[in-house]
Amino acid sequence: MDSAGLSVGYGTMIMLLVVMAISVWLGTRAEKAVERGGFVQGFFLGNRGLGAWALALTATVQSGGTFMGFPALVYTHGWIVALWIAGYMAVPITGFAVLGKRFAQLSRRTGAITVPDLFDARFGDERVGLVASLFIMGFMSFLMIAQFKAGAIVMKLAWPHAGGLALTEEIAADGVDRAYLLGLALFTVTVVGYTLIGGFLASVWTDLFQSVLMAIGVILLFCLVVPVASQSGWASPTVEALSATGPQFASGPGLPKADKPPFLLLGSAISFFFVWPIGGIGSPAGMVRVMACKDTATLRRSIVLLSIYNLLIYLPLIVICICARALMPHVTPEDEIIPRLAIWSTQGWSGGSLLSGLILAAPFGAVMATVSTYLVVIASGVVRDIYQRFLRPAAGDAEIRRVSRLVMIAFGLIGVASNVQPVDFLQKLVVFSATGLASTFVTAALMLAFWRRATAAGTLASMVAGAMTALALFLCGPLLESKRFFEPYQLLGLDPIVWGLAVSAIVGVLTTLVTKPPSVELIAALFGPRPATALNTRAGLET
Amino acid sequence: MPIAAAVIVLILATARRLQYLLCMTSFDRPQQGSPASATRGEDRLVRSARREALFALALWLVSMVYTITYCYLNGYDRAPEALTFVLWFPDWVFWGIVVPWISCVIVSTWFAFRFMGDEPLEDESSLPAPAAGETVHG
Repeated sequence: MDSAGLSVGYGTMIMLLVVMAISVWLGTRAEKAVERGGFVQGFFLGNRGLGAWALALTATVQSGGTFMGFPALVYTHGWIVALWIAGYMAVPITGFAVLGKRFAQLSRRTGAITVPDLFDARFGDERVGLVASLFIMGFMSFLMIAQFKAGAIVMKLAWPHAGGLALTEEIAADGVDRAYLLGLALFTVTVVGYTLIGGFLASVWTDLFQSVLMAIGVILLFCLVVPVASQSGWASPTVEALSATGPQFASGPGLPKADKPPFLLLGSAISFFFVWPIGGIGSPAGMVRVMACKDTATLRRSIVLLSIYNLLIYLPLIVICICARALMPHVTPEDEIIPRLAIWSTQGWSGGSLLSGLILAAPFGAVMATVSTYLVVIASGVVRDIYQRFLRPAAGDAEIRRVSRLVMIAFGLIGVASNVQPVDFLQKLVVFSATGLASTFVTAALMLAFWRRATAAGTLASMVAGAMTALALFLCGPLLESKRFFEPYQLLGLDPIVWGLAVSAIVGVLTTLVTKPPSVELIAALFGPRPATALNTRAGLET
Repeated sequence: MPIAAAVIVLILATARRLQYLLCMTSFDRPQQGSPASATRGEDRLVRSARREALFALALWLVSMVYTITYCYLNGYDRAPEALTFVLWFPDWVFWGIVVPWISCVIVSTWFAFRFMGDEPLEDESSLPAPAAGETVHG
């Protein structure tokens, strides 16, 4: 089944333009919703009105990179990738039930708009907020800027008869051309444009839109591909794929790529059970979204919705990619497997090219949504935590609005400038950034939410120690083992996230225990019954 | 060890006796005879959120231990001839990943509808109209 020479035709370009148009439309709708409340709370937190669908399908997906690399991994390494992604079974419950309620409550009680605001108010110490803000901006800018490349490349490939079919990590030497630069410009203008207009809500709504798009694509593909591949029995896709590859395709540690180390040794399997569920807890973009949820019933419904969504996306996607290896055993580059499968399965249909366009448009939407989300978080960091705090504490709504938009445009320009020569390592940057954020924020956030005794010094120490551990291990990879950049040193076979979490927890707890407990008033205000009630109780006791 | 470290903060916060020792203050000690004694001076939401967080992390831990143990014992270095299949899945994928995944969805759904409670997020004073049935203690 030779698929070379197939082309996406005009379908992909049309679908991309449709996705962009809908995103901009969502941005203008979001602007109307923002106008209902004050600018800061509306633009950066959507007036705390997120419902279950918006929260469930947008708060825990790490980035477009996760969705894009996954099918190629299954196609390359086989069934073991099911174990690599298996941590997602716990993502809905850890993502919403661990911090959700307390973050939603505390952000209302303290009036916090951003995650650093919340750290600041909870510990009564500006330094905690400032350090949190610096780490968020540091780790997230990295990741956001890398996503621009993905967006630009998808656009470039969508040109009719462009030759390639999907995002590939290694861009060819002649990859930087006019189509790439035009794609970069179009992508940036669209995504910065609609984020500028609609702020937080625009990012959430476009994220929701692409999640739905992704689900439709996966279900369609499943119905088209899997029955064909398993005509001669349930086992036949795996058996045929095995005969085309090797015995490791159906067992651990997975089929290795030529002269690469084994794909998933035990230590890595354990580590990825940390990366997805625990990394999800530590993602500031996720924290902001639970702060914006409407009520606790929303959190509960989100757990159910996301549980079902993940089950319906990931398990079928694995089966689809196994079938792909049986139907088309020798596709290179592997990143093109999903679009090629889409084109192959819709051959002879009049709308076939539109369907394959839809399937390529879904990751494009994911990249747009990721950039937009990070743009809002980073801009809120610059505006709230630096401009408003240190430069112009008395700034009014109009001024904040102007500065927020300037910051977004500035980051858009930085994104373009850094990608005129595209950055490498997108997939590795995703894991690096998730690891850094989790090592920095998971312990600190748990201390913030649940530990009354936690002190500002303990939290600061925990954040710095966690971040430094992760960074040191990522540095040791290239330095000690001459690995490539962003390939970490795996102490005892475990990835840096496990060590970062462990060090941040130990340092956080110990530092807290040797520092002076926080003031009784602060704790009573944040852990005690609601203020109106608390006042009454105190008054009642005194009389 | 790292697993223990990850939940240590929550355990510390939950173990009451230990907490009195750690806090070295009396602010959260139950005040005998006051209405707050039953609530330890803590908001209802704080206690329910802590209970739910512990449940969620426990579910994560159980699913991780089961899935990785099962897959490591049954899925690593298997000869393809010895594989059996359930639906499209090799046996170890089905029993080690698909079944726990579906169980997680069921448990999470039960958790969301039965275990997890609802509490108001806004402070009563800032609510435009307090919900009927909400009474002020004390």
